[in-house]
Amino acid sequence: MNRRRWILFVLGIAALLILAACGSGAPDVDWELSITGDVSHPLTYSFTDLAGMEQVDLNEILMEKSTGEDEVTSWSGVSLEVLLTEAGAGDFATLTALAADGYAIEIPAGETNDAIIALKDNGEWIADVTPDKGPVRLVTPDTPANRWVFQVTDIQVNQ
Amino acid sequence: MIKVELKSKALVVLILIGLLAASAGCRPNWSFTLEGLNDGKRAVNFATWNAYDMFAEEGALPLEQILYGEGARVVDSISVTDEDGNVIQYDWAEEANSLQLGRNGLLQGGDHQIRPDSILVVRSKWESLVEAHIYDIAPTAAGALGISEPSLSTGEDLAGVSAESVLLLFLDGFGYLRYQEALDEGLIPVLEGLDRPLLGITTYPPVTSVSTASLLTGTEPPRHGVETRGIRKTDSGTLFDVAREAGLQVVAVEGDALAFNLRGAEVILSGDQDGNGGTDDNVLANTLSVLDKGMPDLFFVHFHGIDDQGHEVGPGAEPEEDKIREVDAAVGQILEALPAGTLVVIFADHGMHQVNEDGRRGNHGHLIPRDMLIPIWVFRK
Repeated sequence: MNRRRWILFVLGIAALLILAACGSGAPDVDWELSITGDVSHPLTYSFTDLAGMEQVDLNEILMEKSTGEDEVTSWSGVSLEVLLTEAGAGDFATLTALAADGYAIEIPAGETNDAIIALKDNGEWIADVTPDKGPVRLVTPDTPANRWVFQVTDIQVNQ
Repeated sequence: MIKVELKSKALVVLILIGLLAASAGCRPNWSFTLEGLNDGKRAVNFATWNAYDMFAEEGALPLEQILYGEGARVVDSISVTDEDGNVIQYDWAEEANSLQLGRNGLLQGGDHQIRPDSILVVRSKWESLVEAHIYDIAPTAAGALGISEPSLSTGEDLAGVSAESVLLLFLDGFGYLRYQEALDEGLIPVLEGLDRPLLGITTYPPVTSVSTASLLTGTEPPRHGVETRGIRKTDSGTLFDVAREAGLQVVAVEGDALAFNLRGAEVILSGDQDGNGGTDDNVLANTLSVLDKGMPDLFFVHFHGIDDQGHEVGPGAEPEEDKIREVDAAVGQILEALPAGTLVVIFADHGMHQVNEDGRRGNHGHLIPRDMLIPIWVFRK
């Protein structure tokens, strides 16, 4: 391989790597979400890990707000059930969701059906459109807004 | 060439002067007088409005944000005199939610707007009867435990005694007027058996996050920085920070959610594990469990049910009365299990008034007696 071809080869590899990194269009965010508590192997996911997983769409779901009118919005992100399964959670009574600002809530298992760790709000990255409410948010359809924990950092499983 | 450069510079200077003049002309030029506050009349103008613009939405801010900032604490009504001398009276309990002051100086309420020449604030007689503030609770607890007050504290020690330990018993949404009604209706035999509570007042807006910041930091919202409902923590030093730094054990039993960051405390959440629709029974169980193991130096217990029912069915409705009875009985069980030598502070963070909005029958958040006045019991067991 002559020198010119070598340079072209290296540039091509570099371009492929850059394209791979940008392939999902995910913003470059430093964030971690941990699954802990009564699980067989606690796990921690980076934002990039979450963005690279299969995304679930929740369209036109209801958030019961404590003030103002209820909201119907669409979200997409990673199934909470998938994350819990990967961490080895069995049947559980409640989940405790913790946020970066110290907020915490204990949610009965029955209210977490179809929940996701959302990365997008109405098709836009939460990290881009409402960074103070992101980059990830626990979205629990058809429940009061205090269950929709923004800036969620930990999901603790309680049996 | 030199002449051309000079001309260009002169042109730039002229344009800048023109832009400055234009921007000065764009600055809203309005003013009215605000009367009835502590120090008499004062002018409100765009500069005043601008100082509160963080609370504005779509070019208007709640008038009561300015009233609170300028010294009003509980308001009965306001009288607005417009530029033509017409006087309009607003009952604050009816209009607090709707009256906004626009960036343009127009007072907007519902479908009408007025350009005020003066606003007379008629303050409630309750203001002069107030005996304690929610931000007195932190210095009271600190004084009893023999530790420093939080760094920004402006409150006063309500007890002036030392104690082995302190219990802060938080009855969310149980305002002073509702306490009086509950007393008359015989709903609260345990609380009735205590000495009369101090007539207390919370801070504005009277919502849990702001009130909790006030009680933990010992000061008012502009100083601790939590001035709206959506903020869930303060960077200012809190009672719990001081207690933890002093090596004391701080435990907090909450409902299913933390309304506010309780940094420095070991937090125990009490989700509705039995699925009965409330968390107060879980809070009670967790509280008794903690006491069974040994009273912490500083123990914070938060009952949410009266507030939850107040929002849902409205103050005075039967399920809300049942909840008041339940919480009163829980207070009795806790007091019984408490060791002697404990300083007990029982308090509410805000009250509740009736509404008919968005499927809700009760709400709070205004400078009215039902929302602002709170009972505060302080005694040693």
